[in-house]
Amino acid sequence: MTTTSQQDILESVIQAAPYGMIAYDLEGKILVANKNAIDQLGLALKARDLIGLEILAVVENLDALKTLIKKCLRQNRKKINLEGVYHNNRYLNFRGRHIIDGMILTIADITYLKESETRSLNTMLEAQELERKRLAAEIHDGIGPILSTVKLNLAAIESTLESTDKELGVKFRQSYQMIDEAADDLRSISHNLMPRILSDFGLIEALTALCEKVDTTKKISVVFIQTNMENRFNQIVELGLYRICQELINNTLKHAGANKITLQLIHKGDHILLMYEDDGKGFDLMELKPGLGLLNIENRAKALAGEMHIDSQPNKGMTATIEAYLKPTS
Amino acid sequence: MTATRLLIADDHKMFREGLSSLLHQQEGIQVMAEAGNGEEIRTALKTKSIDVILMDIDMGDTNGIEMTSEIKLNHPDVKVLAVSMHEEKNYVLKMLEAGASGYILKNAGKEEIINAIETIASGNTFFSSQVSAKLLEHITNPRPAKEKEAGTPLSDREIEVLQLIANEYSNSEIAEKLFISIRTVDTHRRNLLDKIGAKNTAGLVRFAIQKGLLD
Repeated sequence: MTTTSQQDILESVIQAAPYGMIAYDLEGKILVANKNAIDQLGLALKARDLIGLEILAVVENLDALKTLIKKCLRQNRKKINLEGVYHNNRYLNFRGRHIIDGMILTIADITYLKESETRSLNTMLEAQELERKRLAAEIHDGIGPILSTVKLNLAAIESTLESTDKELGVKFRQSYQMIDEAADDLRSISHNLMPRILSDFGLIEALTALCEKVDTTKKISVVFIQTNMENRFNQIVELGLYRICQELINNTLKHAGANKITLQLIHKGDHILLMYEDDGKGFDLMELKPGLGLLNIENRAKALAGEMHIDSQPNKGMTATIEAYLKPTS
Repeated sequence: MTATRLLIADDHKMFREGLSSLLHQQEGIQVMAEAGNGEEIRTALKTKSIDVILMDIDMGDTNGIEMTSEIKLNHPDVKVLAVSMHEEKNYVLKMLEAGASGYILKNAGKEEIINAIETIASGNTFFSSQVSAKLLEHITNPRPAKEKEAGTPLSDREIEVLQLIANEYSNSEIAEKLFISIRTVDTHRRNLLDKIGAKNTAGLVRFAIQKGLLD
C-alpha cells in the first residue's frame, strides 16, 4: 500500500481547487501555483514553471493588482480584494490573504455572473425604453394633436366671443393660455421621453441641442466638446449615452447650484469616454446615499459594458467619468 | 388680389379640419384641399391649383422633408410652409435645403399661421420667433469648419491640469490643488495626450509653452 504523504495530498488539493491559486513569500517569490491560475492569467507556462518567479513580474499587465500586491509586500497590508477585473476576455475576482511567511492569491472567474448581470440590466433598460417610446408615441399621436386642434377651434370663436361679452372674453383668454401652457409642457414631456432628434440626427446633434437648450433656458453655462465623434454609433450606445447625459444634467440642475457644466465625449478606439463636470456644491462621497439618479447612471454604464466613476468633494463640484465599450462589429 | 390657394397636409385629421375651419373664415386665404399622406398630396397638386402647402414634417409613413424636395421638383411654383413639433435647427435646416420657404411650430397661434401663409405667398420667407432665434445662433456660430482647423478645444479644467503639469506638479499634487482624485487627474492627462496629439509629458509641456501657458 502506498502511503501518500501530507505533501502529496496538499499538492493535489491545490491543483484540483476550482479557482486559481498562487502563493508567494514575503519577498514576492512564488512558492506554489496551479493550472487554473495559469489559464486565468493567460500565461504561456506550466504551473510548476511559476515557482521561483517574481509575482510582480507575472502580473505585470494587471495594473491594479500589481499596485495592491506591492502595497501588501512593502507596507504589510493584510488583505487583497479586487473584484471584477477584466482580463483576457474574462472577469476575475482576486483575493489575497496572509499565510505563514507569505500570501496566497486566489482567482475566481466570474465572467458568467457578469454576463448574467449585464443581460438582466439590459432587459430592464430595454423594457424602460420601450415604455417610453410607447408613451411618447401616445402623446404625439393622441393628446398632442387634440390640444393643438382645441387651440385652433378656440381661436375660431375668439373674436366673436370677445366682441359679445368682455368678461367672458377675459375668461376665454385665460383658458386659452392654460391650454397653450399644457401643450408646451406636453411637448417637453414627450421630448424628454423620446427625443426624436437622437434617432433622426444622432448623438452629437441631440446632445448639442440639449446643451444649448439648458444653456439658454436654465441660465447655466453648458460647454459641450466632442473629439473623434464624427461617425454614428449603434442605437443602443447612442441612446444609453444620451440618457446618462440627461440624468447627469438633471441632477446638476436639481441639486448642485452650479454655474457651469462641461460635457465631453471622446471616441478612443474601442470605447467612448464621457466626462461630465459641474462646479456646484458637490457631495461627500463617503456619505453619499445613492439617489435614484446616480444608480440609474451606473446601471446604464454597466449595460454599456462600461464603468462609472464619480469624483466629488463638498463645495468643489463633481466629475463623472463613464467609459462605454463598443462591441466589435461581428 | 386673388386669395392664396392653400393645401393643408397633416396626418392628423382633427388638426387638418380644425385648421381648415379656422382659415375658411379668413379673407385672402382659400382652402382648396386637405391631404393626409404623400399620395393625397400628389393627387391634390395634380387636380387643383395650389399656391401654398402647409406641410407637416412628420406624417407617419410620409416624410415631409422628402415630400418637399419632390414638390419643388415637380411643382416649383408651389411654396412650402413647414409645420412641426420639432424646433431644433437640424429639422429647420433640412426643410430649407429641401426647398421650404418657411417654418412654424405646431403651437403657433392663429395670427402667426395667417401671417406665415401670407408672407410666403408673396414670395418671402417666414420663421416663427423661436425658430429664427435658433437659426441666427447657427449662422453666428459656425462650428464644424472652425473646429477642424484648430483641433478639439481644451476644457477649462484640462488647461488648468496642463499648466500644472508644465509647472512640474506631480499627479498627486495636481489632485490636491484642484480637489479632484488622482484617477481623474490621470484621465485628464490621457485626454490631453489624445487631444494634443502628444506622445508623452514632454509633448504636453512643449504644447503648453507654444500656447504661452507656462508661468
